[in-house]
Amino acid sequence: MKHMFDCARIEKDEETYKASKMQRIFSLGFLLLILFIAGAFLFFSKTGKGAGRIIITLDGEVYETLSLDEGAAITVEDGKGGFNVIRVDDGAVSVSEANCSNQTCVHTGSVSRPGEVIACLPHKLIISIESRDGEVDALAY
Amino acid sequence: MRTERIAKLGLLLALGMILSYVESLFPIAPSVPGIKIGLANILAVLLLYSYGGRACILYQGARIFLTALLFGSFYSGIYSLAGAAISLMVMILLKRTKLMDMEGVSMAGGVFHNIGQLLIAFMFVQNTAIFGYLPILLIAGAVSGYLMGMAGEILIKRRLL
Repeated sequence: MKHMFDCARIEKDEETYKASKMQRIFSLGFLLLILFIAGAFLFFSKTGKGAGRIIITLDGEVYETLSLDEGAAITVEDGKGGFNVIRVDDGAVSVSEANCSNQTCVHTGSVSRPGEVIACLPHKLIISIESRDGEVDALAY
Repeated sequence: MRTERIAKLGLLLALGMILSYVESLFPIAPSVPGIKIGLANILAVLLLYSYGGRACILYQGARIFLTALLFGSFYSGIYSLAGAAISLMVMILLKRTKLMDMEGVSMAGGVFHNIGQLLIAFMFVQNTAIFGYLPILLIAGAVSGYLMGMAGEILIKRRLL
């Protein structure tokens, strides 16, 4: 197995991938820093209170605004043959069915807190929850 | 010498395409757009360190084009291309500074890959709510990048590829 494809490797580059202790510490430190900061954001963004409005945007335009308090089921069509069935149940919104390629929106399941998002990128559809006072929580990121 | 180099690049390209395809069969986080293991990037880091930036750009460009053509779509190609372009730029520059080891360079690549994809997604959907995905994408990119860098380092040190 050794040296199976070994021929044109640039030998001097062996120096470049031998890591020094400082490089090891520096990159491991950065990894922990990212985990810590992004983890903190993730944690605190989940603490928002319920009772918000659901904003559905399609291709950058607001398509419809729904209340989390009332049950609803609407079908959004993107005009190119794509559709997403959006359901509001028990103060949470979800996409129950869609004909997009990756089904990410369906797998996301129910979301209910301000700042949470369901995205269907193939259909350029974003379902976001805004807290009721109109403050867009997404901007807090 | 040159012929062998081309043959090896072709081999790695084929391997990278297989890896891209295989991981598309097993999505690890189907509920978050854009999270992948990034197996094909093991080879990108490997190429960056053993053959240099130009070979790495060639590999990523060809792999993304062919993978999108065979297994993906126009849009999946655009997303991958944007992510790869910004991530390669960062990785090549960071490698030159010698501040970080292979894992660190690969981690930065993973993080910026996801940032690039998020920016493209924002261009398409025109809604700032999409940036709510930033924290989880940063974590995923950093962890995946670091692990792929580790894998690349093992391969390069044992001279397996």
